[in-house]
Amino acid sequence: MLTQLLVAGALLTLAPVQDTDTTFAVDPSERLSVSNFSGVITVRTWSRNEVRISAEHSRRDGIVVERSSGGILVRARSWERWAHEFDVDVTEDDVHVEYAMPRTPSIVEYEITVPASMPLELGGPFTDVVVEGAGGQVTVKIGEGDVEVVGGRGRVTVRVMEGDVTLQGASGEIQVVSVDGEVSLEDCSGNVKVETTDGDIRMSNVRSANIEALSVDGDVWFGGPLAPQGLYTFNTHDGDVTVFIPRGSSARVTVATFDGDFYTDFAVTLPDRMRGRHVSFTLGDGGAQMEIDAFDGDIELRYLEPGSSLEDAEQNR
Amino acid sequence: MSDEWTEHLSAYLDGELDDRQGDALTAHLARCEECRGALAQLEGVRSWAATFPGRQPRVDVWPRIAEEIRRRQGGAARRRAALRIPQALAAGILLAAVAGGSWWLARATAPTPEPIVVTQRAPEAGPSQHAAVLAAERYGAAIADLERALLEDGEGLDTATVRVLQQKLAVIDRAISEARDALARDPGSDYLADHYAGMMRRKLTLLRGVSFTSAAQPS
Repeated sequence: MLTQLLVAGALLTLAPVQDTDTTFAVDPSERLSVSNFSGVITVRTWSRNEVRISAEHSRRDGIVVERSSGGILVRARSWERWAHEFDVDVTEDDVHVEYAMPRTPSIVEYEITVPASMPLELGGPFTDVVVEGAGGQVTVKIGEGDVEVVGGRGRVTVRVMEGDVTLQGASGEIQVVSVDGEVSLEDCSGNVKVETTDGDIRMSNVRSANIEALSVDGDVWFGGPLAPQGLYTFNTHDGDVTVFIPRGSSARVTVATFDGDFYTDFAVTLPDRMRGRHVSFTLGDGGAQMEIDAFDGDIELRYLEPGSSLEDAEQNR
Repeated sequence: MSDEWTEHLSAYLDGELDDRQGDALTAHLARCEECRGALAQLEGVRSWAATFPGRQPRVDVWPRIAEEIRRRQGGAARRRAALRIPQALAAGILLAAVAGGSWWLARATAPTPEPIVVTQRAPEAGPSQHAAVLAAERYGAAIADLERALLEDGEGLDTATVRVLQQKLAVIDRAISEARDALARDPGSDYLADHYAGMMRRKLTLLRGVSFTSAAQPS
């Protein structure tokens, strides 16, 4: 696939580039799906009930817009499901098999403008995705590439095989699954579930009553208030977990590490030696519940001063 | 099979009961076929563990342990029931025996890398053992199937993606191995049992999610 991608890149370099620019009316509740083999999908919003698709691609290719009851699908003409094609011609004394491979899909750089509330479904094997100002549901599924989403309401779902994910200002049901890459959430709210196998998780000013952040090989940072009955799980196998919460926070806290240490600004009496243990304690009235597990890493539970960002808190610790 | 006797089988096998208890259990075994069966299972696992070479467990050893437990205990329906009735203790003891045997073998053949507190005698079955058994039962077979499909068939994914997945599976396998080793050294730890089960669950989640790329293609 990498070879094919390089070939596609070479073709794009050699082939004259052509722009597609089209605008059409939509119902803002329709779902817009954009599937891109390789390149970039950039989506911005405006107040019109129209979609504008501007795309840069090879002259040999074109952009296909398909409308159905399920919504609007946008893709390059060359980007069909990846499959080999066979033609078999059987005559009386001969069987002729003709084998053809579909043309390498083009690299396409989309710039799409949509109604702010329009649900979005964006993805592809080798594409970056940038969304600015989304006011509706956002779903991103990509193989390799980076994702940056500003906004998103209701359900915001991102699945990435290899690449970094940044969400800013998303709210609702937020789910991010990354196999290899860092995940960053900033100024988000709602129920949050973040999983990465190999990468750091960073959550700054996330206001949520339900957070689950899991990494296998990476650090986890969280900075934000705790909801009175909130549930918070921060878990990594090989990495540190650092949590910044306001001084007056109320929570029943369990911290566990097999081969690390625990440090806190809060007045907590700890065993002399933390390694290989888990300890539980209560802050304030113990309204929220927080579980922190860093099997092979240190755990820090620090004060988050009013008005300070995660970066400020990190510098002051 | 009664709880009263089941919980003493492991100690009986290890020669740790006093004479009075040992004689009573010997008499009970003479008339209780189920307890004789459970004892035979324990002996079998111990023998199996004795053939295990004294080295760090390979990544895929745990599914085989789970499979062995499954095979010896019968079908899935019975297995589920076994975790709710007194036979659950036998399952816990089986795991304890494996863990204890592995620890013993590791101690006999390799220096302990860190001065971590080690439980020298397999403890009685408790919540930790059950959690680990459940984890293996729930995830082990599914993981093996999915991993086989991924590595042999590629699940329709391109080679570069499969390569990335293999690398990340290795990351999780390393975590599972470390958690399992820690649990073997401290089998009474609820935290380690939970962490181990969590890593198994993460691997299953990763394998179930390998259709990212396929899902991203237009149909």
